[in-house]
Amino acid sequence: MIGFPLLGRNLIVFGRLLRRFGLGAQPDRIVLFAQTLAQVGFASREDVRYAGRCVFVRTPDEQRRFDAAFDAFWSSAAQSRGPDERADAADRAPGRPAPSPAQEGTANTGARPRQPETTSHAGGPATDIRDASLVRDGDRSFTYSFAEALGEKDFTRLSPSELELAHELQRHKQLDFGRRESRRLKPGSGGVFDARRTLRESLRQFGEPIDLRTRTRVLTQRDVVLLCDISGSMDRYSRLLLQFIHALRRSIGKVEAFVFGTRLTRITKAIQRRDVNEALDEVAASVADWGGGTRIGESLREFNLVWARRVLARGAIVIIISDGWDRGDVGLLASEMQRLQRMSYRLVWLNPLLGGRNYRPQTIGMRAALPFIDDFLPAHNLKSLTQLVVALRSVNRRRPARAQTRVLEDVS
Amino acid sequence: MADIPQSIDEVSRLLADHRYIADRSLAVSVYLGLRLSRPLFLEGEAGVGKTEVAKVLAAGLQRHLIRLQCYEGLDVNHAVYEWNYARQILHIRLAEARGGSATPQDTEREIFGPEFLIKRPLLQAIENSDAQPAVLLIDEIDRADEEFEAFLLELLSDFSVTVPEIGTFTATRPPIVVLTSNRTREVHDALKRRCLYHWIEYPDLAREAQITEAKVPGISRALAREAAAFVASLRTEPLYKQPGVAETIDWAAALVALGTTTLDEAVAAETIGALLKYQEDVKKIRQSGLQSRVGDAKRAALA
Repeated sequence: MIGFPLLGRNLIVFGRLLRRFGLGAQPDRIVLFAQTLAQVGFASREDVRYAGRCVFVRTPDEQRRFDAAFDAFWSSAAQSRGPDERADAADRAPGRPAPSPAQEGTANTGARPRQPETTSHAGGPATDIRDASLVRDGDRSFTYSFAEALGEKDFTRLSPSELELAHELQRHKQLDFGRRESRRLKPGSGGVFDARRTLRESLRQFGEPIDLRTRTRVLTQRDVVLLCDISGSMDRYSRLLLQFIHALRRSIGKVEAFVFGTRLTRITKAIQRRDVNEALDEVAASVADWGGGTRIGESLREFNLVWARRVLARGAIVIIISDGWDRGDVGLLASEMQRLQRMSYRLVWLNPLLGGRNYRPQTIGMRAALPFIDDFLPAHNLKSLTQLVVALRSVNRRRPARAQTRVLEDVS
Repeated sequence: MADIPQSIDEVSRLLADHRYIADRSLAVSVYLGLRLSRPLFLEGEAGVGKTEVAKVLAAGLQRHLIRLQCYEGLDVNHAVYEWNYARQILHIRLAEARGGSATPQDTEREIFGPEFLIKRPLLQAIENSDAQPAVLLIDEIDRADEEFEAFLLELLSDFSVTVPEIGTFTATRPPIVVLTSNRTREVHDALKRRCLYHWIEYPDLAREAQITEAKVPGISRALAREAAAFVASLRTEPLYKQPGVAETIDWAAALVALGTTTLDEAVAAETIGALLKYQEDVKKIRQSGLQSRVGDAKRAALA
C-alpha cells in the first residue's frame, strides 16, 4: 500500500504460499488482507498474524495451517531477499504440516504428503494371536491382519467390473434415506393456520375470510453419517463400500463420512470430489491405518467425543459398516455404542459377513455391539446395499422402538 | 454515543471496561470488523463468550443491541417483517361499519401501510441505522437452515430489504453485525467469506482467572486462580462436554455462595454439577481421583 512499494508483490507471494498450504487465498481475500493491513499497520507481527487469520481462516484447522504458513513466510523472509526467492524457500520449507491425529480428527483432507509411518500401535503379534483365539468364525479369509500394516494401499484405478458397479450405483438416483419434518413451513393443506395468505385472499371478498389457508412442514432429507471400517479383515469390501459412500454422497448430498481402523479419519471432504477415482485416491492418501487392525470402540469413542455433537445435531441416521472383528476394548465398544445409539435417530450396522448363509454374530465385538443396533443388515453386494435403502425408506418417519431384541433371521 | 475505537488497544480497553477480558487476536478482529464495516463471524465451543462480544460492544459503543436468535425454520416472517393481521382485520371491519365507499384496492393499500407492519430484528437493524447503526447479533447461525443462510447472505451484502407492499428499506449506514456459531453444522463458505472470521479458543489459566475475577463479585484472586486451574485440568480430559468459561463463572459463583475460601475435595465434589453436564463425565472425573486433581489445581494456581 502507500509507502510500501514491495508490499504488493509480497502479498502475492504470501498468497501463493497460503495456497500451497491448502488455504483459499483468492484475489478478493488478498485485497481484503491489504485493507486490514492498512488498519493494523506493521508495528506488531502478531497483529498482522491476527489480521490474516480473520481473512484467510474459516475453520480451527485452517487456523493452524495459516499459522504455519505465516511462520514459514517470515522465517524464509529472514533468510532471503527477493520475494521470488522467498517463495522458493517456502517450497523447500516444511511444506504442509501434517496435522496430528488429535486435530479435527485428522479432518485435513488436503493431499498430505504420504508418511512412511512405521510406528506400530500397541498390540504386537502376540496380542493379536491371543485376541484371535476369541474368534470362533470359521472363514479364514476374514481373520485379522496379524500385523497392523500401516503401509499404503495402492488404490489407483478401478477394474472394469468395479466401474460397472459404480455406474450401477450412480443409476440409483432414487436413493432415499428417509426424510424428516424440518421446522420450515410451506403452503399446504393441514398443519398450521396461515394468517398472511388467508387475509390477503379475503380481501377479494371484502375482508371475509372464506377459505382458510394453512401451512405444512417441509420434508427434508435426513442427514446420513457413515462410519466405515477399513481394517484388514474388511479389505475385500473396502473399495466397494467407499464407492457406495461416494455414490451416496453424489445422490443425496448430506453425507458425513468417516473411516476407521485403529483411528478415525474424516473423509467427507475427500468424497466430495466428483470423480470417483480421484475421491478414492484422496481417501487413500489421508488414511494412515489402511488395512490394519481394528479398534472399533476407540474409534467410536473418538467420534462421540469430537464429532457427534457436530454432525448428529439434526436427527441423523448413523450407518456403521464393519464386520465387527474388533481387538480393542469390548467394554468400551459397548458403552460407546450405547451412547451413539442414544444420539442418533437410527443406528444401522451393515455387516458384509451377514450375507453368508450360516453367519451368526459371534465375534466378541459384534456381540457387544448388537444390543444397541436398530437395523442389522448385510452389505456384501450391490443388492444388499439397495436393500438397505428399501429398509430405511419403509421406516421413514418413525423412530425405532428401542430396547427390543433384534431378530436376525428376518433381514436376509 | 461513543465513537468507533481508533486503535486495537482502545478496543481492548472498551471490552475490559465492560468486564470482557479479550485476548489480543479477538481485539484485532473486532477492531477490523468495526473499521472495515465487515460482519464478524465468531466461532468456538459453547460458553467461550461469543454472544457476550456483541452485548459488550453494544454497551461500550452505546448502541442498540438487536438480537436474532436462529433456529431451524426461521423464515422472513420472523426474521424480517410480518403484517399485523389482527389489526388489519379490525381495520377492515371498522371501514365496513362506517359504511365507506372504499374499493377493495383502496382497502388493500390502506391495510398494507407502514402502521400495520411489524418489524422483526433484521428490518429493525436496517431501519435503525439513520441515527446510529445498531449492533446486530445473529446468534447461533448454525441452527438456522440453508434457506435462511442464503437469505442472510443477500442481506449482508447490500443491507436492504424489500417489502413488496411498501418498498425497499436500505440502511444508510450498515449496522455492526456479529454472527456466532457453535459449529453444529458447517456454515456455508460464501457466508463466511462475507465476514471476518474469528475462532475463540478457551482462555489460558491467567486470563480465565481474570475473567472469573471480573465476573464473580466477591471472589478472591486466589480462589479465582484455583477455579481456573481446576477447569483447565478438566479440559485436558476426554469429556463429552468440556466446561466452557460460562461454566467456570457459574461454578466460581457457586463456590462463593457456599462461602468457600479455598478449593478442597469435598466442595469440588458437591459442586461439580455446575461444570460437567453429563453423568458419564461426572463419573469419569470422580473415578479419576478428585483429591489429586484439586491438589494439582492448587499447585498450578500458585505457579
